[in-house]
Amino acid sequence: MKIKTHLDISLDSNYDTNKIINYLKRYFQFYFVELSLEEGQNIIYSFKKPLDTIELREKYVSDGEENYLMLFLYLVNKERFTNGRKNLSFLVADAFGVEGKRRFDSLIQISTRGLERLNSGAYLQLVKEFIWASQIDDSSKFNLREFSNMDEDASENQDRFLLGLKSQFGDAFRQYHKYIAVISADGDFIGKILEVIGTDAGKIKLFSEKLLIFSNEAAEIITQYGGSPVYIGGEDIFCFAPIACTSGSEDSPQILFNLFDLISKLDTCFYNHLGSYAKNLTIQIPTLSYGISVTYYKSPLNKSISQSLELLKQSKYDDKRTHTRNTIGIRIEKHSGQFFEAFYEKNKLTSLNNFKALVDKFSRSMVIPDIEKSDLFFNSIMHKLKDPLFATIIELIAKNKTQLAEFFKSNFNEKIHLENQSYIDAVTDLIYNAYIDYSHPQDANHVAYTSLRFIDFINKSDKES
Amino acid sequence: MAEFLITLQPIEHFFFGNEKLSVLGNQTVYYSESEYFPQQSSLLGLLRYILLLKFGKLGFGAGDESVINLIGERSFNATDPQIGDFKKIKSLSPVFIRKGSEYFFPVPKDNGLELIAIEGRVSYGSLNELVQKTPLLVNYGAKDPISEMMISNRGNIIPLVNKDGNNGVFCHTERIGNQKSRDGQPITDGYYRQLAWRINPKINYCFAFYASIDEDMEDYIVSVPFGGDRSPFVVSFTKEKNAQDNIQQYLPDQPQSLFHKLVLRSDTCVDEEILSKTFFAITASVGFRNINTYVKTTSNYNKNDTLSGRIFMLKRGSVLYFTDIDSMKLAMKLIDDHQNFKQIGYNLYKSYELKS
Repeated sequence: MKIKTHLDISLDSNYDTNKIINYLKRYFQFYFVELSLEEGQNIIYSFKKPLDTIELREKYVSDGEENYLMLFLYLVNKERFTNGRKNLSFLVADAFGVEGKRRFDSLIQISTRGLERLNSGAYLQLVKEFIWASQIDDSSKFNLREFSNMDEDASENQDRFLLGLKSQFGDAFRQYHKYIAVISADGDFIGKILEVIGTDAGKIKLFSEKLLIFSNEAAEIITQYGGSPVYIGGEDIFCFAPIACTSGSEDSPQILFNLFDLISKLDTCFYNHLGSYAKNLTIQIPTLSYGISVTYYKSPLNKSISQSLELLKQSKYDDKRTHTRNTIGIRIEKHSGQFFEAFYEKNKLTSLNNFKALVDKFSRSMVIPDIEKSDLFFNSIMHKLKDPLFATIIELIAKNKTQLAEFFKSNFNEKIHLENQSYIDAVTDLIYNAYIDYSHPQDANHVAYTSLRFIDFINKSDKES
Repeated sequence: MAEFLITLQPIEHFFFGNEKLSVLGNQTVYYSESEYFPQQSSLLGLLRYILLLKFGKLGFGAGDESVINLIGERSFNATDPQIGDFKKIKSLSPVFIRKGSEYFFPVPKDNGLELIAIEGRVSYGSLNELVQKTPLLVNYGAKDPISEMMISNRGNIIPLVNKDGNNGVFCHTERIGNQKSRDGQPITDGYYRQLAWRINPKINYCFAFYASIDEDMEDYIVSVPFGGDRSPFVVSFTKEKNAQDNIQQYLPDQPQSLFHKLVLRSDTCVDEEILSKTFFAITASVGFRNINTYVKTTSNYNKNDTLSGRIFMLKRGSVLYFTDIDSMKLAMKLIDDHQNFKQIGYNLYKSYELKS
């Protein structure tokens, strides 16, 4: 009914709203199963198989020309820029508030959120000039058939927006502002909880409420970080996020937070609501596994999304590993096609803390650290890890701290290295603990390398013209 | 008039494009992925092209009568359900994979699964439309992905994609390039990546399909450009009797024990109301669009003309289950009504009736 009301207000008489409602009924897949169960049967498990089965019956609408859903989403986004907010879509009002934002942010608004927080006035100016200007305001110009070819976030506008940001923000504009993270997360060991409470409808309800509360808080956490939640369903999370973002508070100097900080906050929240609940039931504490795909802003989004799902899957079920779950699978693919990835097992606290210490030391401020300014220096240490000979030697000696330190001393003994001894020591610690924590040397190598490259990635200035 | 087995051997890599109809944001040609198989409408186009080639009519002026008499007035018409008039080309079968005398088709989506009905009610629409029994696939594990496989007339199963020496049909090949302008200068966004396929070089797979053609094509072999990249293919024709009847034998029998069923052997254009005739169905859909060309106005067959309207079809391998024979017959009629699609190799199915 709400959809019909909204359409009646927004559309001109060219459109038959009944036809549209009919289309939406054919398009959306709402399936129900009703079962009679006996006392003591696990409610959740009884429904699982039939629900899984009927999900395979995919609905479709044979006439592909009737893309009324696109029309509806277009109207939701379009709103009435020129006529004030009288005809504000109920979806926009619900999601963003009546006085709030006008639409779901485009990818480069998400990736450059940190800059918006540095100077929101100047930022908004650029958004108005390059992003909103390309919105199709006149619905008579909206062509339902050709909608997919009328991408409002056209390439040229994005490029000009970024150039505008670069000239406005100077050095604060970094390479990572041109990259976007797609995050998929899923709960681990939730099944264990369901096994225990699944026969009790009351307990299921309570548990569902906990999931809902967690979902709401997760959405807040993601938004506070600077990301945009897309879907949060209890223990299922899907969102877009900037690689790093300033805190947005009145702090001065600004602190730079990154994806791993976001994960940390989500994990804490998850434990508060669900972990402690499981602890009280004395069963396996559930955790979250993540798949994070970082790509260049122009990269096809559907590819990045399936990449994040693949990483999530491997974080949970990769049988080549000795562990499963409670893992962050992250992959960063540069514009050149080069990529680096690693799986961080969150219970390997020592190496994880080493990584965090390096981040705290070198990537918390808006000012590019001196160490990064000498490109050669950072690269030489980092890339040595990928050099086969070097990597083999490291693999042999990594668990012996003294040998490792000696090895580094003899390999990195030029002036610039001696001046940055604390950095070399921190890297030595990271490598040492990575090889201790991870039994497969390849996993250890990836974790160490990716950690260093991630820090480097955040610190790099944008060299593209 | 004769039936021919036509094989297509890509000489190197190939690329079959398809509009990604559900792409979110950033729709760019920066990165594109090839489909595994060509569309049937593309195969029809290929045959029309080859006939023109054989008769030396390529590049002839638009509207030439002799051209129309060879291949008909226009390309495939998705909107008119009548059989199309492509003159010498009478009909096509769906495309499949051939390896010597073994022919592979996509595994039906119910492979290894058994459907039963349990007590309970289900609705696919609203609370007013509850159906008395609930379908359940006995050995289906939702977390195990159903990877794409092909099955042959001998019951051998192979994966579509070749990985770790698993005898898969297709191998990845990524092509990276940097388009330059006419005078060799780099252009913005000239960088592109394309995921194309090659046939597994270790095994003698090739594409194949049947066609009824009113022309002696026996032992005709030719090399033609085909697909998005104008990749070279060797196309050869051999006569084969009763070919299109034989095709139904190429799927090992897997009748359901409790339900009548239809297994779609090729992508199928049919109104979604067909689902309301079923007790249950395992389905996926795929988008379709083709290029409308008219001999009257076309002499350059490499140029894209107008795109047809977009429709969604049921994907080959989809399975439809019925509790009674009349519902199944109604469903078959809905599929058969699209004579135009049937003619060029779409809308082919195998029906399994329960012996009561």
